[in-house]
Amino acid sequence: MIEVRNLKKSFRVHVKKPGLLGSMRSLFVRNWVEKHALKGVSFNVEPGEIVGLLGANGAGKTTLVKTLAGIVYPSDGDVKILGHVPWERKNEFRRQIALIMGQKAQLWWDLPAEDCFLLLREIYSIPRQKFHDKLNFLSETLGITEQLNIQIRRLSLGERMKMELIAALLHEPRVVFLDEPTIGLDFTAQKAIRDFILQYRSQHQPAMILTSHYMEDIKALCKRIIIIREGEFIYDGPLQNIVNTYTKHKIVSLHLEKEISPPNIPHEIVAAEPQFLKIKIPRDQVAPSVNSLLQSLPVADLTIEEQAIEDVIEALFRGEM
Amino acid sequence: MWTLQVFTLEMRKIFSYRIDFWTQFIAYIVVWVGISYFLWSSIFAQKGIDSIGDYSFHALMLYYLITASVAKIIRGQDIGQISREIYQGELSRYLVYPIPFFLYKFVCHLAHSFMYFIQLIFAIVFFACVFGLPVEITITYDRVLMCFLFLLLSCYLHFSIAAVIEIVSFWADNVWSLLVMLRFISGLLGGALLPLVLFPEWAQKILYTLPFPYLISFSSEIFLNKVTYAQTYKATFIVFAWSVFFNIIFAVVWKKGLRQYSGVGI
Repeated sequence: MIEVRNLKKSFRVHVKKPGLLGSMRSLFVRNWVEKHALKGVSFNVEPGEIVGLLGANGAGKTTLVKTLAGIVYPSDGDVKILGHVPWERKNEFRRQIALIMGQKAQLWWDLPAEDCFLLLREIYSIPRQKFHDKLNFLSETLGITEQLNIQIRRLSLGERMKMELIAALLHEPRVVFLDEPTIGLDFTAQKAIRDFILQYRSQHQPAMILTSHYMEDIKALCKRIIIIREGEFIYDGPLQNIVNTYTKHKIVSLHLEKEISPPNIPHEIVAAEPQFLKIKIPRDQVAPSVNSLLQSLPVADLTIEEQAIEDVIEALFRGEM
Repeated sequence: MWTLQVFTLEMRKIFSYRIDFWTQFIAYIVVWVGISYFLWSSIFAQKGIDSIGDYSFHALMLYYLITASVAKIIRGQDIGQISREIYQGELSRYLVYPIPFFLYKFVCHLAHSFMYFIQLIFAIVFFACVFGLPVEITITYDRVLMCFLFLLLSCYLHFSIAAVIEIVSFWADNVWSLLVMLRFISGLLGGALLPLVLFPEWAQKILYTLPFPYLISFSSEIFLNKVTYAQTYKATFIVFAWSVFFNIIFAVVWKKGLRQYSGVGI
């Protein structure tokens, strides 16, 4: 459904020195730098799949989403979405996609949501009965039927985001780009939106790309994630595999029956207390090492932990893995 | 039809700011016509004349009232909106919708123009009731209809010119000064500041090949019986030609501009 091959995007950015002198100088001489937002990325997304796109700020996530939605032109590469090249912006393509931008209101600020939806009904040529059924269903599911006649600018952030979701999904798009859909929302609203997205996925099987800084979103919605760093993909695979792929160690915590002096073992001791030890053991040596520890130490209790996904992803963002 | 929906939505937006709607209109008309009244009454008095060009003082005041309103009608929405949307990245949402951006924006523009047109009718009725219509002017249905249709063309032409300037913001962060320049030039060469009949004949000949007279003064002249049918047909052709010219420029610049667009702010 989404096929991306060697996609590149570079921007020319105007650089200005600070201060009045810098501003005056830029009237006559302009300095530009080339910023490579995407450095040749390739991937596919299948129907019904929700792919989480993760990366630090400025990594290239939003540029990728904007390119796939046909908003910006790439510098190089091929993209086919539902058989269309996005930046040709053919109406047939645009009728089948939706873009939700958590940081940017897409609805008309001065109008009640229902008026906005009526306009969208016309834009997407949705039959009247189908539109009303769909709107009733979506607004009831998200619990915002009462707010449909209130101006968008008077709604809370959560209510506005729910309206944005309805607006984006009224025409039943087959490809949905969600750029931080839960940003700034409280936990209840975040959960409502996540549940709603899952429900939409199960009903319509669209291909979805989600960017979010909240791991809860990613864990709840995405089985597959792509991690992007400085315009390059550094991981594309199942969310669960990321720990196996990138962590070389497991953490073994031992609660001891009596106080001992730190033992002489061939692994790094991360934390040591009189009756407690935390040891970092290479993944492939966990079983024999634990066996040896159990025999040599008075162990009362033992836990083996994986490194948290959040920590692994954060380390990947920073380039530490 | 989505265009009709956009039109009515835009009207509802205007209605939601009704105080602004009336104060802006009244202040603009009062200031503009007031300045013209004091300026021209002093010129008429000093020169001891009772007409200038082929305008009596009475007809001249009506001319200024109409041109002031027409200037607002053809300018429609606030200038700088498209450039602001490009600059702030709000253009992105329109690029995702399966509708042509130019047409969408023109319909929005037209909704504002229509509201100003209603204000113009109020203004003319008010003028006729308080000061009466100049004796040399006979209002006929066909003139009113022709004036209305020509106003539509003027709106389209002005929008086409302004849109070309606005999308320069794909490259320049701020095109406000260019838009102000258009406003000034269209006011001066379009007859809003001075009836074009007062320009030297050679200047008029050049002016009437340019788009500006057809933006503001020509509609007023149709209403005031100052132009013939033949001149109106010729003007319609010229407006059409200039519109095509600016639409071609828009299409080329838009296509190139979108390649520059980075959708900042999202």
